[in-house]
Amino acid sequence: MSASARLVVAVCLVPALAGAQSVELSGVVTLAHGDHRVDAGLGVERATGLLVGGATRLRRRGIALTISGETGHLTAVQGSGGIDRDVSQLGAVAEFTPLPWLVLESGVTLRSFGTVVARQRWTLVRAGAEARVPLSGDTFWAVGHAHLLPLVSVNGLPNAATAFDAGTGLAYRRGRLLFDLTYTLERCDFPSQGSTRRSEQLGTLALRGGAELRLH
Amino acid sequence: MRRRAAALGLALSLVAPTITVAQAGTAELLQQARQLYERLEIERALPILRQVVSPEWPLEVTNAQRVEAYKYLGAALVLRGKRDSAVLYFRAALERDAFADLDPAQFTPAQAGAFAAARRLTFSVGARPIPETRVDPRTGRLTVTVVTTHAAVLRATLRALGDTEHVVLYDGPNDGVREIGWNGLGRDGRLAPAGRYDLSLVGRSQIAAQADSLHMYLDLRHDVEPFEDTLPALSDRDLLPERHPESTAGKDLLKGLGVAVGALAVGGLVASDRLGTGREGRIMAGTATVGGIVAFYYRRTHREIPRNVALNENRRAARDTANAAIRRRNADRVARTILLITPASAPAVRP
Repeated sequence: MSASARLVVAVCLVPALAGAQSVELSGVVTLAHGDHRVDAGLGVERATGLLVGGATRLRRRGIALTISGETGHLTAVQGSGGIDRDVSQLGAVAEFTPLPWLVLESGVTLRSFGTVVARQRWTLVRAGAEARVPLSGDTFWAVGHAHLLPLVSVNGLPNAATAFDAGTGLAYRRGRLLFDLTYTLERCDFPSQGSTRRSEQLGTLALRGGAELRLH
Repeated sequence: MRRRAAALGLALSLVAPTITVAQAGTAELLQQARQLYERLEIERALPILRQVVSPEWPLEVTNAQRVEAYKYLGAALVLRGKRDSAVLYFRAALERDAFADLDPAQFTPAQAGAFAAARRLTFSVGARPIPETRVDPRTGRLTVTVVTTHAAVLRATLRALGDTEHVVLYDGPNDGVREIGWNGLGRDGRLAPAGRYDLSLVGRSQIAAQADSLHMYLDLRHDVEPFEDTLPALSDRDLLPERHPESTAGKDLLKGLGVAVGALAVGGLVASDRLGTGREGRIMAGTATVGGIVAFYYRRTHREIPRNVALNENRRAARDTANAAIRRRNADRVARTILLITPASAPAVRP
């Protein structure tokens, strides 16, 4: 069974798990603007576009599991020398909340860049933390997050030498409704191959909105 | 010689009672008088009875003994045909004890008739001594036996000393013995408070223009289970702050600006110099700045913390519920209060 299939099975199991435990189940729709930049020694190729997707999150006490997926089409910016590409990704993140304002996160993302020339598959393993502090009462939150990506595997390329992401955002939660706007920049630097050193960067400004369901 | 001996014997027989009187107690003397009366030795009984009621009698005479002596004096005089004198003695008995009566099995109808005449001429009210009593107000009552010597209007009231209001136990016609009761409640229907009480009896004769009254003092105590203390009022330590301090608005603005700076920092510091960044970071920074400013103004005008207010309300409600339950249990204890009633004075004190 492929990694994507395992993720689909996990998503299908979420409602069953929710019914068996006293948990919070939330689902959000994601609308993001992506800015993908690649420098493979031939100048910066840049493509931007909209990504759409969703995520579901299952939380019990201080532990949560989030499954997400996005897909979209990134259009090459004129003059940057790149080509259009489709991007799809599935992610799974386990979260642990040791403090009310701190969430420790670890997860994996499977990403695919498809062009008319080839398809590139990425596997990214990340670990990091997210801090949430109330900005205005219990409804408006300031968010900051950072992750190290110790393993970034790309077919046709050596594993990334250095990879991390960081971002900030605002979150709004009122009753069962939740919205957030986050900016994330993910950067991967690959080992030098000859005189060239490949770097890739994906910046996203994501708007998420959804609802949380409390199950007993 | 034989005459002198007979005269001496007669003298001794006359003097003997006097010697006996001098030596015997009042009770023994009364017993002796009763025996003489029952043997119809009236002439011998009368001096003894007169001795008992005489002010010069040196020994102690209880009221009951004095009443007994008056009754037998009256009865003896009826037998001697001195009905008017008998009535006077009967009246003396009734004045001292309104409960005084003649047993029909022991006295003749003529004696009873004289006693009835004395009743009509004499007016007094009386009450039996109240023994130490436990009264459960839910099921029992304090019973007091009162009497008027003849037809009268009787009013019995109970009043806490120092209090102006009283409970009327009885107010109406009466002739003879009557039992009146008290359920332990005050005029307001609540349990009478502990303390000393004045039981007052006032009678007005319906036959003659006479009135009589008496007071009895009672001590009333409550026998009640110890009460539970109610929960104390919630202090500041028990409650969450319900309003943000004034500094919160400024902190919210700083947090928003922090998010904005973070977004710019991500673009400026994390991004590769070769790759540069797009506008997403600046958009996020602008949004966060606006969010911080909105939060600043919102917090300045909305300082309350609804969640804490609700939690505090819950805590207050829980305390109020607990206190209501405690008050209910205490009220049940009050309802189960037993009244302990003890006499505080001589059975009857005429004012």
